Amino acid sequence: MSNRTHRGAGFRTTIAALITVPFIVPFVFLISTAVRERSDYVSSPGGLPKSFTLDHIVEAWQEADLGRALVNTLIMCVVACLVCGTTSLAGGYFFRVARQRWTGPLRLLLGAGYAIPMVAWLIPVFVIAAQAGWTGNLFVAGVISGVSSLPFGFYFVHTFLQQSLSDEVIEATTLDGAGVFRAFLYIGIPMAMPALAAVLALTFVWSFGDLLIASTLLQSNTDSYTLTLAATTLTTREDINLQGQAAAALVSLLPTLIVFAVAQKALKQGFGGGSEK
Amino acid sequence: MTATADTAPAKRVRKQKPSRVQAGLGGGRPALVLLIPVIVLEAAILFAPLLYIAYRSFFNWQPGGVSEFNGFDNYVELFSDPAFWQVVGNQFFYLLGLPLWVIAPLLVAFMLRERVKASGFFRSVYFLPAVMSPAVVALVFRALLSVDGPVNALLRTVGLGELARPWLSDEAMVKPVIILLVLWAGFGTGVLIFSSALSAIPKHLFEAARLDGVGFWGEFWHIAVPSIRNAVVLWMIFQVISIFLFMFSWVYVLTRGGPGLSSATMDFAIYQEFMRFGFFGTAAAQSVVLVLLILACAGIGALVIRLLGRDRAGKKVSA
Amino acid sequence: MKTSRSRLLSGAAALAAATLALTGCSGGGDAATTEKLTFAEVPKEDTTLKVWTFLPDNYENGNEAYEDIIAAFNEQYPQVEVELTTMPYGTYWDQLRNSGVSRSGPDVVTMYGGAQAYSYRNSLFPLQDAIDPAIEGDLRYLEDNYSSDGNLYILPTGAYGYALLVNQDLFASAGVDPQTLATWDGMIGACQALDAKGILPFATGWQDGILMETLMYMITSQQMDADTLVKWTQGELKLDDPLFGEAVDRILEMNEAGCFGGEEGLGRAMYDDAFNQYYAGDAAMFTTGGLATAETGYSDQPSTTVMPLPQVPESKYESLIDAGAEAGWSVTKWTKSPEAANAFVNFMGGAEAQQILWDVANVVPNNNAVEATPKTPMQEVFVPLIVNDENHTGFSSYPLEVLAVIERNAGPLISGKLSRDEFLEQAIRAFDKSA
Repeated sequence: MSNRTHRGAGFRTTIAALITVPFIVPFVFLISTAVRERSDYVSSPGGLPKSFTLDHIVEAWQEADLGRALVNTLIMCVVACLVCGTTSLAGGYFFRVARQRWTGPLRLLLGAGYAIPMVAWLIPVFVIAAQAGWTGNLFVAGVISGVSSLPFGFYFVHTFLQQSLSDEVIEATTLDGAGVFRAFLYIGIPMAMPALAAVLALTFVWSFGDLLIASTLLQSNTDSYTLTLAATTLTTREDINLQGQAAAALVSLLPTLIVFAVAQKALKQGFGGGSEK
Repeated sequence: MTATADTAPAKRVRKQKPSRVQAGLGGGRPALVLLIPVIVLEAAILFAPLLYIAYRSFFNWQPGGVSEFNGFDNYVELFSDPAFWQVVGNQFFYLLGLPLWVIAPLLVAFMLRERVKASGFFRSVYFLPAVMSPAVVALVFRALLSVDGPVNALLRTVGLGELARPWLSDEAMVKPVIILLVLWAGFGTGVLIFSSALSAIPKHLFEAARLDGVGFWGEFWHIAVPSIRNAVVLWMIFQVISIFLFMFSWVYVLTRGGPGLSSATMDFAIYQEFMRFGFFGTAAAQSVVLVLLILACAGIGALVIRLLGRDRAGKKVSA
Repeated sequence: MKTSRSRLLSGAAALAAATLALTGCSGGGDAATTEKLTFAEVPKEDTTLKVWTFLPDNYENGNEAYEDIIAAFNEQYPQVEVELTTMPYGTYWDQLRNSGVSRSGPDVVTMYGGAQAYSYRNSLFPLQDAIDPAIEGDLRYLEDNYSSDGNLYILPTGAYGYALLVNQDLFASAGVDPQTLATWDGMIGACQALDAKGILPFATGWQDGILMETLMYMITSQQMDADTLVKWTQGELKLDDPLFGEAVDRILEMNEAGCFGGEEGLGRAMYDDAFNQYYAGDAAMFTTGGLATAETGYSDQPSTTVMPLPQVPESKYESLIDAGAEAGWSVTKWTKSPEAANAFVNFMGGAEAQQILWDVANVVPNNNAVEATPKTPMQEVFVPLIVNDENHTGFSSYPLEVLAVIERNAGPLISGKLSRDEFLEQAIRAFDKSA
């Protein structure tokens, strides 16, 4: 390594570290809000904490039944990821290899599905789900949550493959006599891994943070509450209970961070794969 | 310039040899099996409801009551409401943040590519906002940005006291502040997406450029950005759509659209009409207008990008 | 490829058509007339009622109280099983919208009267002919809760009353006697005196506009005599009546006297911040509608007492405070057991249920047959204010669109960015739109 790269490394790391400040400060603020005594928080919500208590976290965990809510959320997120991941992969690969005159417009149309406001499509979907007796069902909510990310997901996979998967490679495999599914399995999926990791990470996080779908489809059944929905039970008409909310947020932060760390690893493998070629 | 020469062919292949590609890559009818899930799921869950809402936008829609057909009345009422136009104006003001939302994560993703220790850790930290629910984010920022809050206190301590403001309740400041908050919220996602896209660029391109003596900015502008143009455009469209569709929770918890209507967005307005007031017909009409507006914006944006891209490519070839 | 393309498209079209058909027949279009409900005997067959409410979480021991009530209800109606779901308040009203669109969900819901109920009118049975004659005479606030179409969609239960929490220590440290709050001018003077001593008179948050709304209710209820209130609930009194402008002027007068402090209040929200401001002892007064807030205020600031807002000079009363039903209960139109649902609603209004709520959860009753003996110092001062015979409220008749405009323009009005006339004009425009 040359001198220049060394200096560059230190410089870049410093910048990257500086950028973390606006992300860490609110986070620290959140933690401090969750672990302060009520009187301390009430007298100066924006000030430095002068006390420490785990009461809010314990209370939030018990009152809002966050343990069960965590399991529910994970079920919903996994279903959403399965739905969005598999269909995005298949659809993205299809649009990479299929080049009929109608595929371009169809791709745009399906991508435009992302532009439909959730308030507009969710209500009719809810009506049908209610008629079919599908409300309060985590699986149904997961599918719908997955589909809400699908237009973005398949388009992203397509965009990625457009760049990483060359026509020559596809041609070579098809000339080998491999069928479209073999090509998809052995070329398409491995090549799309970094994109898939990104799509899965985003789908997971979006489903995890969703309140609108959960409150619409799951609210009639308290046993199916997700974390975001359970956290709303801490707020009543008379009391917003911000400290309880902060505590619930802390509890729900951990699993997402773990998932994200795993996704990072998958991304890294993607980086490795990219450099070999 | 080797870089542009290297990336350009991929595009040309597509444009110049469609017939061969068509014959070779289509995969035939069986390939449609890969597409069917996307079509079925989107049609059932996204498009059919939209058609239904569009149909209902021509009614005085009263679920459970008598819904009378009223033609374009809902639209006329919408367009004659000054509040509607103010909200549309806000919507376009927010779009001014677009260059920031695109370039900042792009630059950082590029920087994190190499020669940064623990880049994975940094990416994780930038991603923190994505895992915080809007209600919690609002709690944090309303406290941080309040008149007597830490941000203003900090400004006063460093002698910039006259910059201190009621950030979220000052009509002039609220929109720029929300633009920065949107940057904060989406930054990590942008870095993630761009990192993923950058990982597909062959390393030898950068190595060759470096041998030619190309610096950081040269690599960024002439290799990285053109190579992942598709991802950049996708992210732009994604941000435009987000600004039209996913501002609701932010606006709702941070400002409730205020002061006055100065920070309200269309999705917030639709939510109010539908959920709070029960004006189903006008909410349906507003949803349709919103979809059309997004499509128009995305279309115009794509056109501009294409024209700009062509311009740049043209210049390079001549140089 | 052409064939598959058209096949695909027709497939999508078929799906779309199916969706349309489904939602079309369920989601309205069919003329559901406003059938009336009457108080009738509950059939002997077993039935289940789904009840949605956000109320139990509002009170300490709220859940226990509701369990007791359901047990008492079942003694009278053993054939009716009650499935009560406590819903989070934050998403409650959206959930009712969804239920209304899908014509499915609960049989009985907690609901506010007047304009709120009106906006859900396609989902709710009118109840004016369905009230148990045995309790009707004892119930307060029936009239306040009629909607502008002349229907009563809720059976009101419980009572709130807006009054002032007063931190007597802060008054003492400013050398102001809290008794000056007995008159309007006295209160204005107290604001000036407290402000001059650097004490914030009122805990204030304008950002969500709810304080503005609250003050509007508190003042306009004083200005409306019984006849005017009836006109207001029936939609005959319009928002362009001078009394609303006078109420705004009174609020601006308070603002000028320094009642709300400086611009800090513009960035605060009432529920998130202003409550805490009072609890922390940073403000001398606060507007509140419920006992629970008063109890918390008292435990944090032991010199707290409760006093009425003084009558504005335009008041038609001696000692009225803005008080009305805490909430109410409604029967949904899609219920399979309207008689059982109505029986439950009437049971909630009855003396037995309201007595349990008072005894177990400290909910002030609106049924005159209930013995509500105060048990705590706060109850001793607050309850008599709430049960005052003069009280009424025009609160529930403010159309939701008007409230939205008042809320969002509160900050600009107080900061002087929006003129009083423009503020009123925008509210009137919203009022006309809602009519």
